[in-house]
Amino acid sequence: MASTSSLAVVTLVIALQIAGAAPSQGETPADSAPDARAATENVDRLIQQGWADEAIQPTPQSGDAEFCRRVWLDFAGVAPPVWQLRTFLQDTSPDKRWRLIDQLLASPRFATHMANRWNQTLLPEDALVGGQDNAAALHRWLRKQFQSNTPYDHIIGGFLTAGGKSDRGPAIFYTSRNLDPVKLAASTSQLFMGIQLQCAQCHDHPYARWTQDDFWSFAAFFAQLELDQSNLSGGQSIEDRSGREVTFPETERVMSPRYPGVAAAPEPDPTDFRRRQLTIWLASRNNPYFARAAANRVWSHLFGRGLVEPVDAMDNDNPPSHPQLLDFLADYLIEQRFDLRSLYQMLSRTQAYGRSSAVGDRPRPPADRFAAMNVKTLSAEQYFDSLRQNVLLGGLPRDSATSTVPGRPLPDEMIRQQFLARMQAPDAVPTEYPHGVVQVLGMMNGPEMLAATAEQRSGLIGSLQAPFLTDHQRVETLFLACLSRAPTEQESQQFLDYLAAPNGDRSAASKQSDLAWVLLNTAECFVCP
Amino acid sequence: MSLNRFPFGAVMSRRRWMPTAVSIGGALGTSGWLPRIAAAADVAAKRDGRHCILLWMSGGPSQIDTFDMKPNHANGGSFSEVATAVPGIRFSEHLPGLAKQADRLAILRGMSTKEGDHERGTTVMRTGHPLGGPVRYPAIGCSLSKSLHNSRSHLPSYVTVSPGPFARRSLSPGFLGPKFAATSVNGAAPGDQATYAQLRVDHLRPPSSIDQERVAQRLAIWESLQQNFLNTHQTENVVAHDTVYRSAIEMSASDANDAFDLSQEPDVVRRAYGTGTFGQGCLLARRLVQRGVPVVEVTLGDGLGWDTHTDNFQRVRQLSEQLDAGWSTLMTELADLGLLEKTTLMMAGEFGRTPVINSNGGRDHFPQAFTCVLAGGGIAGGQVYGQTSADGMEVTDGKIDQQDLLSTLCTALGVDPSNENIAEGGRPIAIAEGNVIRQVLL
Repeated sequence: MASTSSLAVVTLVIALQIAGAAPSQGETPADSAPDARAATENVDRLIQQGWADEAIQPTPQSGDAEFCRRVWLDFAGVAPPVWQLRTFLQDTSPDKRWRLIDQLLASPRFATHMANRWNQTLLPEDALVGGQDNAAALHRWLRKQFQSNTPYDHIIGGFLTAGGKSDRGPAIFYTSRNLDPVKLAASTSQLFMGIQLQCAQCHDHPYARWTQDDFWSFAAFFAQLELDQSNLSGGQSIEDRSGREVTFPETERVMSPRYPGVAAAPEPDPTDFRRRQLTIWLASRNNPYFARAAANRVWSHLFGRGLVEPVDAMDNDNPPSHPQLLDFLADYLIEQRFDLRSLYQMLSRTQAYGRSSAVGDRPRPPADRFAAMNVKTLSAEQYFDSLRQNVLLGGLPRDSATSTVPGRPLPDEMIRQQFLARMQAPDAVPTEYPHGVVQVLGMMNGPEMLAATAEQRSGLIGSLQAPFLTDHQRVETLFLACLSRAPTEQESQQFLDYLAAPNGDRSAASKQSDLAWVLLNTAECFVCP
Repeated sequence: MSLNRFPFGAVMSRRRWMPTAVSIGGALGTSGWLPRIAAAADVAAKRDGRHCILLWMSGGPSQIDTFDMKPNHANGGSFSEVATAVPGIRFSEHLPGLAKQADRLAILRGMSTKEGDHERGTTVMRTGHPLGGPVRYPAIGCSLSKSLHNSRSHLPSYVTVSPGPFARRSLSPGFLGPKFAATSVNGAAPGDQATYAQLRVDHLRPPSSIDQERVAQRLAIWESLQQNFLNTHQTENVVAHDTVYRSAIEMSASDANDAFDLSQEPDVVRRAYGTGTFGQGCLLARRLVQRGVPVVEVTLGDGLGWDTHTDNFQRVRQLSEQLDAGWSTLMTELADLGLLEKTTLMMAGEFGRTPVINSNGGRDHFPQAFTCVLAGGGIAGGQVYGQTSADGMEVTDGKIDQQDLLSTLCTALGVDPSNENIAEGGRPIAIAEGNVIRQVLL
């Protein structure tokens, strides 16, 4: 009776034709010079509109060190390694920033960092905490997609039509929400269309356009989901069974699936596979929300806040700060066939992205004018991974990208997990600091800080003991490792004085460890400038 | 009455948020008058040095085996109902210490909510709002700690002892920001080595190898670097980092260790409270209130202890004994110190339990009709408010919901529940919006 659809592959092909996209496997974004350059200039023109009228003075372009720290944290998810930073600072070629951008976008670190970000976005909090195996499976799947630069519409299509055993990763999107059509309708509309359809779950939305009917007919796309009980051993897989329906609350009225804001019923699907119906529309040009939501998220990743903020509330009552720019970016993403790397590349070449976040004596321009770079709070992963790479040094002989090797986690990996658990802040936006006194006490006195500043355990402190180094060089290395910049003259002098001060039986290493503690606990160390 | 209670009531006409105003694009958030008014109304409560102690019953306590017994009904179960110090008020035989102090208790038997799931119930009872939705509502303890903040104390404004599951959502400071987050004290149950539960704040002190002089040297340099960065980066996150760091540094260097060191208490006192996490937590609550901490929360039921789907009576008896020892000793000591009249206590859990006993000798989740208790400062004790039917299945009189409860708690503390804080997007939101139950207030 019940017909099971397992046509994920076919679906992808169809979605592909509709969107007219061809995947570009694992390439550096092509430098289609005139187009990308025109786009970059257009972005800056649109951002700068109105500054004169509002008497906004933009900050200058950032220095090399600030730019290097920013682009590493944004694209690789860690601060630059000290030697890479030094090389970059010494490089005198005029195109070195663009080369760094391209090199990072093509690196495996970019795929890992994007998978980290999307894992957190896609999964409800309890799935991240409780179901770490599941989260890891999804992470592997996502990483693969970003590594091969699968177009964004294909990634989401693969996601939404996931079902079989091989789709264990993406299927977690459904299983972590208990296959509940209500939760799925809410998450899908928020994540991929940037709209708060769930506000209309109980009553017509008072000021946005959505009605209760819109919500429940959207939920009907997820009515058919069932756990496949036949293969419990191989992880959870899901299937679609026709015959299951959602009904309008407190009535017997069966809701037929309908796209939000579209009056006409969807094209019938040959096997009544509703999630495929949804996916095809979702990524099509007829859907006014999909590309805009994606472009807004990319913008928010780089600039700390969306052109619409919050990024998942792009409803009529919450207009963009720069409507033309958002339209332009959405169109650009479609033209680029949903190639995320190419959008990242174009945006990171703008003057807007290159501006310094430091503002002198003048008042700071409002965050949504983008006349000074917004300061982004690091995620717990970004902070820990930078600490591990630049300060703990070698405590863990492999990077997180390869730590999925089965077997017991390494001690450092355990410290990492504990740190992440303590510092978890899933709903935080990067322009706020989400931690309280308990977390900060852990920052100051916790095991990571102890390891990073202990003379015996910290790789950085150990390396500073080399006899051929001058104190001047030691101080410079501490700054490069912790803050990704050289000290100012005043800072350098202050640190040298501290090292030189006669202080009983205190060893040089113990004083260096004090200075490392100081740097690691500054606000500067916890942000992307 | 309300004007006497709130000297600023006359100018505090309640402003309701108008949806159309949002299209102005967050302009409300910069208008400036709202925070000033809210701040003014709190002055009285701060000046008086008011405190709030929340006793959280994790898992959902059985009202019918504690404060709302049905001795003549099949649902009643095996416990006896006994007389208390107040004629006409009767409750469980396993709460003898509280029975003697029934004149301090206002028992609310008409609580009713719609949330029968642990996380959703916990969130609705602690924040007043259901889980989900775009606004991140703060826990009541966070809102109260903001209103009652004591600027002379280096201790945190809100301490929670072993808060149990779902703390992340249900105890979040939400839109108030991390500055108003609870400081949690972790508890380890007494074991072979220890007579008493061990309570501690993790990482409160630097490792012993770093002496005070070294800490001071580090902080002196930190100060100048931090300040340099702040000068050129006056952004919300950098300023918040600085604020929270300074609170943590203050706390780490203060008499906090002293406050948290329960070994300074005589054995006879420690035993009177009960040796478990809850009892020692109540003792800690007394020490913190003595030192000016405005809000303390103590959780009973390590994990979801009150979730008695099986073996209800044995477990509720043990939990009742812990509840009775900790709570009654706490009120006695606070009264002796002259602090009880300034300290309002509230006992609540995420929901109650089914009057019908299931086949495992347990009771299941029941949000339709359950009991919460208010006590101490500002509360007209010695009364029962609200009533349930003979079988306990429904509220027949004095039905209240979580918003009514939280509004009443605020009012008892001298905090106007209609005080507004500013949420995301400049939207002003009242602390609580229920009906204040005047009958249980002094």
